[in-house]
Amino acid sequence: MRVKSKAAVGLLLGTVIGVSGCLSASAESGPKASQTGISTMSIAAVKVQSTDKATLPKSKAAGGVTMQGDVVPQIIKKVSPSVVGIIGRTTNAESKDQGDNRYNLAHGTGVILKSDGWIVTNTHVVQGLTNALVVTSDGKSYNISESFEDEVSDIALIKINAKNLQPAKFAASSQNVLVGEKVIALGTPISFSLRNSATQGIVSGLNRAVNAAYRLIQTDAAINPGNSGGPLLNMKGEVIGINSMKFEAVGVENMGFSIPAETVQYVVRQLFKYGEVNRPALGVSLEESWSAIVGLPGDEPMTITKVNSSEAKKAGLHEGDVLYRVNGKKISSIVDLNELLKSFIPGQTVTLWLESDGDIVTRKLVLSKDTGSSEDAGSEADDS
Amino acid sequence: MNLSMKIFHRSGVILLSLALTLMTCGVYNAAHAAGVQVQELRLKVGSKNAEINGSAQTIIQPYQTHGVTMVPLSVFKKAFEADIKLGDGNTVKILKGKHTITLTLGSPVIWVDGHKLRSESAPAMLHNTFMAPLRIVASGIGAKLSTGEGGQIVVRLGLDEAADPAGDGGMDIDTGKTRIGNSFYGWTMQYPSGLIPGSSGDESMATFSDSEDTYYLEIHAGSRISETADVDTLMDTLLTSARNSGETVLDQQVFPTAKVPYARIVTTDKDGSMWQERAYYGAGRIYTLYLASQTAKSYKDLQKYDALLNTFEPGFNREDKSIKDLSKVKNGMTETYNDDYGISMQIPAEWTADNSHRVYTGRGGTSLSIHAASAPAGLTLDSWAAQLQEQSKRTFLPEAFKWKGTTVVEASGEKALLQQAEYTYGGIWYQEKQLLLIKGGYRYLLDYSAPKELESGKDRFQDILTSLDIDFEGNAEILGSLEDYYFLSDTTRSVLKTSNNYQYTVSIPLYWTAINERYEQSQAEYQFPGGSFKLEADSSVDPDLTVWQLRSYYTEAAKSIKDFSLQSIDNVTLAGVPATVFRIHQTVNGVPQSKQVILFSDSSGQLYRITTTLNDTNGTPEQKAALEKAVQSFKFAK
Repeated sequence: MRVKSKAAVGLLLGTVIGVSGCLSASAESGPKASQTGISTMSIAAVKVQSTDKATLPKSKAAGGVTMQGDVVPQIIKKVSPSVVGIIGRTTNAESKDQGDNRYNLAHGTGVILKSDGWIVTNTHVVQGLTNALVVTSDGKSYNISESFEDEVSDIALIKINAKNLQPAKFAASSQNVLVGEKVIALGTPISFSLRNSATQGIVSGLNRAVNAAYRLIQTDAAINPGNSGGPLLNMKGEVIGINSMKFEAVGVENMGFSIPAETVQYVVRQLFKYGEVNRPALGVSLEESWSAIVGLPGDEPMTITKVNSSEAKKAGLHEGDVLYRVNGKKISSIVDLNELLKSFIPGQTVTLWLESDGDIVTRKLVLSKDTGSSEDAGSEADDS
Repeated sequence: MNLSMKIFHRSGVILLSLALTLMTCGVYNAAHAAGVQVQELRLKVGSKNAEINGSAQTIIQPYQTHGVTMVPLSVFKKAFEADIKLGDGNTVKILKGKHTITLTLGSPVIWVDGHKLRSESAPAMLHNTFMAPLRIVASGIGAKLSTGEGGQIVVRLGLDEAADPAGDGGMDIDTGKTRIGNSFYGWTMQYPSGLIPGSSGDESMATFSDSEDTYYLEIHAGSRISETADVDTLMDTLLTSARNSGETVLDQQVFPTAKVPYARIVTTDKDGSMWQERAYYGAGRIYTLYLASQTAKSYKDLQKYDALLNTFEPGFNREDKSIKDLSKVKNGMTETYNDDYGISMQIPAEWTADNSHRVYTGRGGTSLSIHAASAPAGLTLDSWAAQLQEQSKRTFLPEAFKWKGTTVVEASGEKALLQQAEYTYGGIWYQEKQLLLIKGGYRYLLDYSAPKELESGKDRFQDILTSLDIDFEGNAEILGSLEDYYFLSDTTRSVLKTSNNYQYTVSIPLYWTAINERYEQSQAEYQFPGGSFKLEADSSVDPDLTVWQLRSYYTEAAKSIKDFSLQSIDNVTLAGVPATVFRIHQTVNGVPQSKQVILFSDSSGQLYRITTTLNDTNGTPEQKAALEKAVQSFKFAK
């Protein structure tokens, strides 16, 4: 048989995995999973008193004294009621042989968006999940009544029939987030019995373009399978991102990624409005430059490798054209483009700056609708 | 580990180039091929028709303002292969060789190689196209302007001026490479920026993955065939390979009218991976492409890779500088490396290299073997050469082996000795070249054999010798005391071999080479110059019947087969039991040889068979004695 010469590739280190948990069919995990006893969790909301000052560690208070100023326990206590566990039967192709195995389950996490039962989570958590249950922090279980999934952003919206839930507060924008800022991740790592597990870390980086259609927040807070769909919180207790994946390989430590709040808000708004994300596309296939793939700084442009939409043909775009700018904004990667296209809808017109066989030209292009196929530039549908 | 290199953008959308044919490459080649020393652009104000290196082109029509001729930038790319880039703000860069020109839309200030110039007319947009002052840009890249007939403006650039500066090219070693291929095996394909070539010891197979790790591709070049392969043959090639590797075919189609006709199948393998496989024929070879996708769930999902695979074509244009050449073959030679003894050298590309045994084989009886061992104290090149000559006397009869002289040469930076000889096994004559080198306590021998009458250009020994590079220092660090029985001049030294299963022992001369030594599985076989020895135990047959069958077979063969004679059938005693010895003389592939087959059985009825051969030319007293001693050494265990 052919042997894949992985060593030669050498560039891709980690496997990016979506961090939704998956119970294996092993008997050992059974009894443990049944010990779901975190019911002592207090629901009383605690007001967070302060932000930055309170985060300073009181190292003098050594010797087991409670750090009174530490805001972390208070945030966890405050936000936990807004975090839910989601579990269901999986129906992925790989496990069809075990279709009648009752341990064939997968789980993840969700964040309550509205008090009447709207919950935001990752698409890869709920996609293909059947007989799913949503378990709130007070131990109540609900069936999912409605579900809207966007594969491209990996954000999904589900509804349970509940009232008076406590919604999480989303940060207006993660643009104000600083690298190094303390963050807390809440979720359901590994076992469904570990609901409302909290981990903490810092924001390791912003605007990361890794394995996703949009830019991500990087954090070193421990994110494990099952954390998917859970919140990444700042020290105000606001959701700055939805944890969705991490790099996983021997030698890779603490490289989790979170979908920023504004991307979540963009998708959620679209899902509420259209039931899907009405996503525009340039209608061409684009190839990133070598330096963009490697991750070198710079602005090497993308090249059009195929003209797909009739709009793009009408605009006079050609294979081999080099795309520099869209509406005056410099674009050098698919992620750049996707971020830019968030503020457009199909049918709107944009101006492109291109190099076409040596000429520097401008073209007016009517944005087409992204159908999710590989023919549309921008976006992606990547199951990790 | 450099983590920053490991993070990858992954778009999930596989964006692969279709035939991104660069005009400039064609023009470049045309200019070079014709021996043209000048690239030329002819255009006219107010006319859409331009002439670029002799061929007509349509451009945005040049216009004149404030006495300045304004032209679209494409003319500089098409005529002179200048790179045109859009920079920050409204700046545009024109790069050609050592020249850089920076223009700003709406600004009369133009920078040429760091010098500020002022144009009477600023760059402007016309028909959505950036128009630039012709004279200032053309002069800036080193071109000369003149007036042609009918108001034409002629811009000429000498090729020496056009030459790119020899820089290190930066980190991207493949800048400007838009296609990839192998010049030796003759194929070419698109080179998308995300394609990552893998490494393969054998150039006939190239492997690729992509930066998003979504697919894996292998391209195999078959050996040269004299017949043309049609699409049915191509399809059969794919189906046979799929069957042999246990794949299930999901889709099969032939494309006889494609630019290069090909066959295509989609399969799923035992691991559940999906493959698109293609076979092409061209330039005397069959090429097979295997692409596996980690994400494909249906055969249709593999169609998105067609954009890349459709660009595959047999053939490689060495003149085309936009092709990245994966081949390390230069002048028909390729690098090979033996890790054990730190030996690297160039061998003919079509040879087969067995680096673990240090044997390199070409077609038609050409081969090279390398031997390394500790050099005994006091050994000199001359004394070693004398030993090798003595050795040849023990293995070849004088009329079959002629020394052709010894010369001093340099190899791997050291003084070495080259001994030449000619020998025959009774058929054609061969030439032998032995390179002897002693360094750092070790001796190295390159033993090259080829038919004496070689087509011109086929004797590459000198090229191999020139390229030889031995890591003497490394060997001194790593190697201890080494012995190679190839150097053994004593034909009488032997070692005892035991079979526990079959309860016997036999003594085998040390100078013989083992082909296999499966004593516990009933078989052992050895070779030595011009001869062989084989010992088998066979429990599946009746000993008496076998003797009878062989007797009648040989008797019959002697009557009907030319150059075959049954010389004797003797009953002897071997290992204390009765044995039958058949002695035959025959000619195999033009080589006259003696053969003996000895059959005997132990007390339980187990049949043993010893078969020996010895070429007439190698029937020296030493070799005959060694063979006879080995036969007689067979003893049953007590």
